[in-house]
Amino acid sequence: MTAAPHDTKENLDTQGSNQAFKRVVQDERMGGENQTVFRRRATDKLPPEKPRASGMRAATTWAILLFCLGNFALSFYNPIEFDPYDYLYRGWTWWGFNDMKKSPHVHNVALLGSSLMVSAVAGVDANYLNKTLDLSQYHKAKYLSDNLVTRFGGTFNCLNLSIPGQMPSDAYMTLKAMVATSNRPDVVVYGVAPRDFIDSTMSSAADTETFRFLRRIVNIDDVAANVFRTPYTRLEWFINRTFYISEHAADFQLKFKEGSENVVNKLVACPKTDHPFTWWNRIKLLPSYLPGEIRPQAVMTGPISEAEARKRWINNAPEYVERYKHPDKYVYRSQFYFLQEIAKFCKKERIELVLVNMPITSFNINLLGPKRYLQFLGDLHIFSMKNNIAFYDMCTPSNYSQQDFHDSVHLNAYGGKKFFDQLVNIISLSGRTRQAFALSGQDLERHQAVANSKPNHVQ
Amino acid sequence: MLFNSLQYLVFLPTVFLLFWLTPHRFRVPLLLVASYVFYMSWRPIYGLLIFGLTLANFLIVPFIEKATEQKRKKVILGFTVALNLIVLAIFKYAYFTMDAVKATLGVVGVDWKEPHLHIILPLGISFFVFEFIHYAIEVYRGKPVVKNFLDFALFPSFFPTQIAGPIKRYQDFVPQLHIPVKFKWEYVDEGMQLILMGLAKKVLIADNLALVVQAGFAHPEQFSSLDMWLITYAFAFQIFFDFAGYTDIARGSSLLFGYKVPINFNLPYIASNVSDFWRRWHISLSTWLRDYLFIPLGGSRGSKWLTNRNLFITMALGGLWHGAAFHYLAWGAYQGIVLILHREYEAVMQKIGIHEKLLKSKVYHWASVVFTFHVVCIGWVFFRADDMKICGAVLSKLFEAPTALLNFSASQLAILQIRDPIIFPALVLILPVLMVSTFVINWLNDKKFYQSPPWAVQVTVMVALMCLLTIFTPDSSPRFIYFQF
Repeated sequence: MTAAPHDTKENLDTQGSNQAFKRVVQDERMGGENQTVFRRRATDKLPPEKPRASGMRAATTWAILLFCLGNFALSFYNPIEFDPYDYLYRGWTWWGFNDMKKSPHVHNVALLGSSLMVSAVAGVDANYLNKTLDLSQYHKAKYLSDNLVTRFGGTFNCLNLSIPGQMPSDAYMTLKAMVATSNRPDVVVYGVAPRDFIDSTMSSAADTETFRFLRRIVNIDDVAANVFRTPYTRLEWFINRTFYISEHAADFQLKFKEGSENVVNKLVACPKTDHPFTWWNRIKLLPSYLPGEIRPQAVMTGPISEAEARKRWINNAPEYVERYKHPDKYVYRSQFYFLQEIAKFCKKERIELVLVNMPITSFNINLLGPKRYLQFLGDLHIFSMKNNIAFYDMCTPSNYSQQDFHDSVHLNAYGGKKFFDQLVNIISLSGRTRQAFALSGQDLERHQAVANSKPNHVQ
Repeated sequence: MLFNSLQYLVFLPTVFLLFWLTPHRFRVPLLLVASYVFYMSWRPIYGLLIFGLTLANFLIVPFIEKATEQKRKKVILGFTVALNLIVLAIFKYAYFTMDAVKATLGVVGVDWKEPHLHIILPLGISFFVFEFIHYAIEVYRGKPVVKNFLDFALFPSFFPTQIAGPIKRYQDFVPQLHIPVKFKWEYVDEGMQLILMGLAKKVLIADNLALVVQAGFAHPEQFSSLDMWLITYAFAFQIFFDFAGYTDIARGSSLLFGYKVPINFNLPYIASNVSDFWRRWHISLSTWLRDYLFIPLGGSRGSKWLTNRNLFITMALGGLWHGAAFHYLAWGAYQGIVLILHREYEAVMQKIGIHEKLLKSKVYHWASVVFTFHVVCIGWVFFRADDMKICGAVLSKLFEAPTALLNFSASQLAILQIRDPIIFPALVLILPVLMVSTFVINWLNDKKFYQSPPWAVQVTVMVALMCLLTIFTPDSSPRFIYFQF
């Protein structure tokens, strides 16, 4: 396969003379009536004329037919069992679900949200546990869990499935995938911020790593109309679900990757050196290859002293200027649609949804524009009232100073601690959420007691 | 609209169906509309550019034909060529010129603040401008003008060749539009096979090799001399498969409508000298440069010095045509120099009288093929490097090879240590296969295998390619290299 089959010397010769070329073209385009006469006169070299193909004899017709039939047969018999969790691209979501799958614990509270939630949980837990946390492996919220136990009694096991950049569409997929894999939480705490609804750098819900990975697990037929922005993305989805090979392209790619790695490793030995090539070297060498992929020890958070945390400040204004640059009404509407779907799904699954407006600095609010921010806040209030959802606006400038953040939106360890303390406090003040958490704590305690007593009972 | 996109997968069959359902007299307007839709799907405003240039050339060039005096013909031709080149210069070379002026003024101590322009290079401008110039020169040389505006407008805008060629000749293309064509399944079979083969070259080979090339040319300091040779070979095959893949898709798409467009490649890496290489690489460009630059400059009719000068200017400008940057100019100049050296070498050998004997020797022939390939590969370093600094770094690595070979050990090869992505160590397996396959295909060509592959082979290859492309086509496939020109 190194050159086009038609890039041959013969073709070149044919084109050597424009006149001859034109005559061949003209003759062929006339339907070949004069072909024999022409060839006899002009080009003795040409091979004898083949019988003309009819539609049913055309190679293309048969190739397309065989391709479709092959796909149909594969879909029907489903001969290969692929593991939907085994995925080529290992981003935040993959590690979260990988951890959840391996975990023997039952989780009764799930945390969802973007990097604002990730940062708050990781910072506070690193200090609370006084150890460095590897965020590809650590998906708990220990400080919050213990705080809930203190306040409501019972047992709490919080699973943190918030990931950087998570939008409501991703949160919807995450929650559905949790339930699909028998990890139904009793309560979901979902922290939102304006960026999650209007990020200019995102064109559609289907663009994220979360979405691409979780659609292997979750059926999205019911929300397809709002996922695919253009007819082409919708067509791509249609092709993917219609053709077996396309649906399992990522699985085949993974198998091919594993196979080729085996072959190459056998045939081409890796020379022993003092400095083996690491994932970090790869990131430096190929920054755009699998962007967003993380590996163990790629993102670490360690304990930090209060003085140091309050001193540290990163100016991420340029990033947010870009994100807020062209607020897209379509994205905004479609993300609210997914928020609505989360609410519906929670109701159906009898999961208590607690919506939290995450704290951000007034500096960031000014980047967005106060008018837009207030509209966002108003829309959240209306949404929560319409759907009868518990909604807490935690973004109160009087409660948080710039020293609680390590940039314009992310809480540091001490800001995070303040946030979870206040959250638990607010939750306990409302009868509805207090009851939901208390019941959840009791349920899990009872569940664990039963689980622990089982071996004795069998004996 | 990229050939390797879903949009094209919808666009092409739609136009194909409409074309064959439409009576002959409406087919040119249909293809013209489709071609403008194709072009304007990227930036609608640039549809005006191609239309404006088409209209200007259509209106001005007939005056060349009408002019009775040779001098007048020349003036109109000069005006037409200048008009096309000015448009190309504005869109393609404005930043480059300003940078060069700024650097020159900087040398004499003048700090010039260049104006900030917002010019985005229109896709395919280098290709359609060359087609317009070809048309004007051919009319000047006595060929007839195209009388029908729609026919003329379709010539530069024909969507399969619009963005990256092959650069067509109007005498070949326009007459095809007038012939009442009947649908033949052969068109579909040949066209589909070319399209699938082209996509496979791009997606399965070029895009994978691109990973290694990207790393090597971004961080040459991380690789040894022998690594850099392998990476340079990888680029030689990447650019070939990328561009040959594009050309196959373009030719296949044209064939679906029953139109033939010129070929662009003829196994360039089996060339036995650089002159032969240029007869096999980007044929539509090299013949354009020969006909409309080298020959008008005097070609090889003058003295040795003039011939060499013409060669050098032609190749240097050809290099600059590829991109407004010094490294492209350097690549062109390098090609010019090696072509001159080759001419001089041949002249010396003929003088000595051993040329004929040598040429007939198989050992000499294959040694020449290997030598030419390496000369071409050194040229590709100028082409691929982002700037002259990187170019210098890569070249200095390449020239350390003899020392590295003397102390060869596998631990010298950094690519063997990189196991993710696996394409790095796999390169030592893939490159020999690609090299050998070139010779195998040449042998198959000689045996005329491709003229009549058995029906079952055609179907099997097509199904296999459909499956492979479905699996390996990424969600967002990289653009073709020649799109930027």
